[in-house]
Parts: sequence; C-alpha cells; structure tokens
Amino acid sequence: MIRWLAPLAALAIAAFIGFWLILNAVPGLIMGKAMERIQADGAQINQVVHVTPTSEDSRRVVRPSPDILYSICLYDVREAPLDVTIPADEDGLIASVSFFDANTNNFMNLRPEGAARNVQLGEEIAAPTRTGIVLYRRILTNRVSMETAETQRQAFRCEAAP
Amino acid sequence: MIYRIAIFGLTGLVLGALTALFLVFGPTGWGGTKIGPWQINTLIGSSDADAMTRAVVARRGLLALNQNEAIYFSADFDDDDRRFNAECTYRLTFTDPPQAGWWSLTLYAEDEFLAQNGEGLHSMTADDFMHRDEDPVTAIISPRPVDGPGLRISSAQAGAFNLTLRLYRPDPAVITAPETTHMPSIERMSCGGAS
Repeated sequence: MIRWLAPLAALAIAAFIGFWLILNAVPGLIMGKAMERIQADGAQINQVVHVTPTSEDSRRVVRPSPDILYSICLYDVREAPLDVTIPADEDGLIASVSFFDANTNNFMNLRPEGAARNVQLGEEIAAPTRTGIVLYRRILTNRVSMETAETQRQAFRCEAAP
Repeated sequence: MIYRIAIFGLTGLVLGALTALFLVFGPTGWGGTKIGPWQINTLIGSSDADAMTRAVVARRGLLALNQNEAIYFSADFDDDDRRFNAECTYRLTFTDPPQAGWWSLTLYAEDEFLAQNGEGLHSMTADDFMHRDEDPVTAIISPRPVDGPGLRISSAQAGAFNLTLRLYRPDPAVITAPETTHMPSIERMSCGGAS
C-alpha cells in the first residue's frame, strides 16, 4: 500500500494543478478569441467601432442586449496610453463607458456627466493588463429615437495618445 | 517508482483539466444567491470574483458589468424547478417593478445568443412595464402568438433557453440584500398542449 502513496499523492496534486490552470486560463482565452473575432470584422486596435444595432444575427459576443447600442474599442497600451472620450450627458438617460482587462474583469465604469470629457487609460486610469476592451453602452428607450442615440454615440472615441 | 509517479501525475493533470473544462462548459451556473428560480452573483464582472465565477461569466456573459453599474439575475428553470423548454408557454408576473434606474428582461437561446426565429421579440424593458395598464404586470413567453394583448417574448427556436434580467444602476438594497428583491414569478402554463 505504501508504494502507492507517492503516485496517489502525485495524482491528487497534479489534478489540482490541472484544474487550477485551466480555470484561470479560460477567461483570457475566451476574451482573446472574442477580440480576434471583433478584429476579423474590421475593428482596428485603439479605434472605435460602432456596432450595428443588436439583432438575432449578432453572434460575436454572447448575450448581446437588443435594447442597448454598443460601441467597442479594442485597446493596446503597450506603446502609448489610450485617450478615451466620454460623450456628454445629453438627456439623463443611461449610458456608460466600461473598461475590461484581458482577464474579463470590469475594472472601471464611467458615466457621461455634463460635457464630454477625456480620460487616459494607462496613465490617469491604470490598466491591469496591456490589452483589453473599452465598451460604450447606450440604452435604447422610447424617449430617444435611434437616430439621436446614433448621433450621441459618435462622440465616444478612443485613440493612442500622441 | 518514478515512472509510476510520472504516469499518475500526468493522469492527474489531465483529469483536473478535463474536470475544469466540464464544469465551465457544462452544468455550472452563475453561483451566488438564489431567489425562487432566479440566481444572482454580485461578484460578476468584479476582480474579486473567484476563478470559477470568472470562467463561467467569460463563457456565458463576456463583458458583463460589475455591480456598480449593473447586476444580472439569471433563470434556467421555472417556479417548479423544471428546465425551460422552448415548446412550453410561461407566464411571468411582476408584483413590483425591478428596483433600478433601468432594466430589461431578455430571452437567450440555448447557444447563449438571441434566438434566430425572425420574430424580433427577444425582450421587454422598463419602458414596456410603464406603459402597461394592468396590476400586476404579466408577460408571456411562448413559441407561438397567444390570444390577448399582453406582452410576449418569443421562445421559438430557443431550445432550453435562459432568461436574464439586467438591472442598470440598481438600488443599493438590491446589491446589499438581493434576497429581499421582488422577482417575477415564472409559471409554466402549458407544454405542447399539456399543462
């Protein structure tokens, strides 16, 4: 029996390590895959893409909301910080700019308040990982037309700092 | 002996990895607090989330916001703990509106995307709720149109679907004591002609 103790201990320890490694790798792998898909659709790093209003054909990122307008910026702050423009609060309705690191953590949310303003990711806001996603969400309600929401989200911008 | 340890170690590594993959891509739910058929995990989107929560959220709800901006209630079962079935008809009853700046309820097909059924009836929102002249407000989930003027979300082509209730800018009480939140009941009315 004793001669089996060491192999069984190796089995248990290795199983724990394998479990832990996969569990911690999955978020980064899924995020990386999602970023690849978005890039395959024509998105450029450190530039905003205003995503077509969600429909049943929207299949790049799971669980899109049909009641929200999305704009997305894939960021990479290895070379330079990222300048992000938060649109103005035009009508008091809900919009947000959310920052996600490469491990899927939502490390910052900013809301439009008053006039449009700029923030810098990688300087003013610390980036936990060098790559990730900045996502603008704008809820669609009966109070605002799609045209108005479309116009408002054009103010969301991101670009590498000079 | 060393050879045996190496074989067992390798086997363990593979078993551990497969177990993790099975749980993340298989039956594991969101975790957190259960309120009737609804489940909420306030750690979604947070860097404080445990590894399992983060992995499951990456698979089932990538780019979910943390609780400062939004929280998510999720349901895969009806009030009687039966897995949702796209061929059945369900009635949701809201005794109170969700407590948040804005909210939406969305039906996702088994593949985690909007059901591809051409109907465009995937959700209801706070707007719909405000314009209903009934108390309590009800909504029907059904694969086919039903009689009456009520709100309907289509489950056609959705398989074993999921319901997600998003609360944007939730009331602080919802975050600190989610179990006290008034969630809509989900009653199965009929299923393929039988109740």
